[in-house]
Amino acid sequence: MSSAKSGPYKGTRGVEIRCLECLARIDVAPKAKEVECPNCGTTYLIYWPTPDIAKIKGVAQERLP
Amino acid sequence: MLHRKVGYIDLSTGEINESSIPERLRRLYLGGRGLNMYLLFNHLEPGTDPLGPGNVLVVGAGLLSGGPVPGGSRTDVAAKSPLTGLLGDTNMGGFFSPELRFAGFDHLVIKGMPEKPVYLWVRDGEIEIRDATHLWGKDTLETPEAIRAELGDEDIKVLCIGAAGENLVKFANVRTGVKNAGGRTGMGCVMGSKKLKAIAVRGTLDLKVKYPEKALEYYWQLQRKILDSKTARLFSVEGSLMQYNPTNTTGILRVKNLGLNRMDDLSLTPDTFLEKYSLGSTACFGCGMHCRHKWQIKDGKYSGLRGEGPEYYTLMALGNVVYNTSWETVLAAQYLVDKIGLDLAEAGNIIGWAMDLYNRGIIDKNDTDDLDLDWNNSSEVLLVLLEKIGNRDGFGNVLADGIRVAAERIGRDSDYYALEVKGLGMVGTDDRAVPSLALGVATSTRGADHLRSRPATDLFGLPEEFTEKLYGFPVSSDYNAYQTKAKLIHYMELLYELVDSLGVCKYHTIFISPTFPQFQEYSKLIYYLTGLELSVDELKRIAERCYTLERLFNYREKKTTRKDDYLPDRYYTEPTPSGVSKTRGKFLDRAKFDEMLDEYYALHGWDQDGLPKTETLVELGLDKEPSHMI
Repeated sequence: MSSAKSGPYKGTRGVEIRCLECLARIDVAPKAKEVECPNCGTTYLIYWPTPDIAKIKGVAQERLP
Repeated sequence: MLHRKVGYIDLSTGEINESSIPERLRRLYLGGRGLNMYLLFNHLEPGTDPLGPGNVLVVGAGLLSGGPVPGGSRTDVAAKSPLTGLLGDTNMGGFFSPELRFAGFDHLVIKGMPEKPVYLWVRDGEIEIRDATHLWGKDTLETPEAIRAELGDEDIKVLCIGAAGENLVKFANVRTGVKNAGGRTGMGCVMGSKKLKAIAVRGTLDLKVKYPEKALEYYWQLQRKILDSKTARLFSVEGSLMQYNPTNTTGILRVKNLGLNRMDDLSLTPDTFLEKYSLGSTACFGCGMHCRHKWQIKDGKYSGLRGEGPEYYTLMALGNVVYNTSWETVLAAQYLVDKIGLDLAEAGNIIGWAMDLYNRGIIDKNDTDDLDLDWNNSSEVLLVLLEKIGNRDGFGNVLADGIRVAAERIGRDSDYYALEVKGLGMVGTDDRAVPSLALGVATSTRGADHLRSRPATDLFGLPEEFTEKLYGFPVSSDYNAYQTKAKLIHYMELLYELVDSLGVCKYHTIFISPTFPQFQEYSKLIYYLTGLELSVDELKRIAERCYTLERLFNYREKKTTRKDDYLPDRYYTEPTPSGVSKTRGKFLDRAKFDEMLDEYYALHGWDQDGLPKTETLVELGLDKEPSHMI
């Protein structure tokens, strides 16, 4: 899980990824393992190929319209 | 860079000749894939048996291979394909084509058929045909070592075949080095039919650059631009595997033949590979990205196996298409296909199809030599099937002639599930939701293939004002859209034709990042390295000429027309079951696909049946082909 205790990180400072569902930009907290898109709510599993590049590993929870 | 020769080798008579390459021909076809196509079109008699002595195998170095060019490593091999009966053409990285150029040659034109196995020894302007009886039966890792030992030079570069090529498996590949393979269209089978085990090259001749200072300065400028990018940094770590997670999560991977479009099991993701198997990475000639993984399996059933790769495509063909979720099995299967010289893309496609038939009850254990091809048994049977194909053993022999022939042999409507275009097995992605990708695969001149045109950036959702700057015309940012995508495919076909003719790796182009080199940059590089002044428009015209000649070749050999430019029926009728909302429940609209085809043909100057118009042939100078200039 991310740094937030109550659920996936939704912060505004960190590394950026693109939501594959809605293409919105998502900030990812350092070392986060999960992140939720603030636009569509899809939650992704995250991994870190380098310390400053986050990548989507897969979908943790889908929010299909 | 221009003063290299063409070597002509007749394996039947032992006759060896050579010619220079007129500058006029360079201005028409450049080198690599483009000049290979010219040589093939000119030297192959129409209607030639692909496995007969008349087939012509052309091995070519790109015009810029071996020079100061980011990714200038590629070798192109062409012949009439024994798998499709159409254009056979395959392209690979490594170190072979720079070495061929250092040895004084840009292209080798090989015909005939000797009585016993041979290999070619090319060194500093000389070509020799040598006995290879003692090499026949060796795999693609043993063969180069044996040749280096025999000739006493460990720097010799070798292009060779394995058991699959010797056994005339129609989708046998050619291999060079530990990693690089020219997989598609069965060029290893052509070498096998010619009893040509290998081509060994070693060169110490200077490759003179026209304007060396400017060339080096521009080379470093491009390298910095590439290597400073986030894409290159990621590529250096993950290699082409970096594409797996985004495409899988989006839902454009082909899983269980075409049963699913996403792997929900995430066992095969790159992070697992990096953590458990990677030993670091290495690179091809002229590459700063070093995307080639070195790996080792440290324990378990395949403990001790080592290799290079895997590529994104390895994971698709030996992973999702056959529903194998074991990394160890993917790596062991890759090691096996590399050793025996089998095209993993075609092998994965045909095994995925066989498993699909088995799981639908169309074939059973009576057909499969008692093998259980249940999807959940994939990791148990994958290597067995690959070995059987390579050795033409039992059910493997049914599959070894390719999917069209196998479907005819099996019957029982199995052809409906056979995914191919023009006889070449389908790519590992599921393109039902992305019309641009689908059009590129359907129209490719070597059959189902993404590397003739794939506009990967179409998936990035780039704004139209950005694409207008990138391509010179706006492209819809919606990857579900049909409009504007024919123009995109036409553009990318020309770019990749150029890149393949220059001998440049596509990972150094806008294939993977819109900031990477394309026409403008290559126009400058060509000038600095060769002195040839070719504008962007002239380069596009050259690429159009080369691509249209490929189209003409296919019509000449097999009367291919519009009817051959479609994906299999399932892509137009069966919706995708999973993925994000833009890829879920999608299939191709045939009427809209037809509109794309109409526009695509018009852009090429072809008629509505996909045949080049007379005025197009005249305008491109193709009305005089074959012209026999060399």
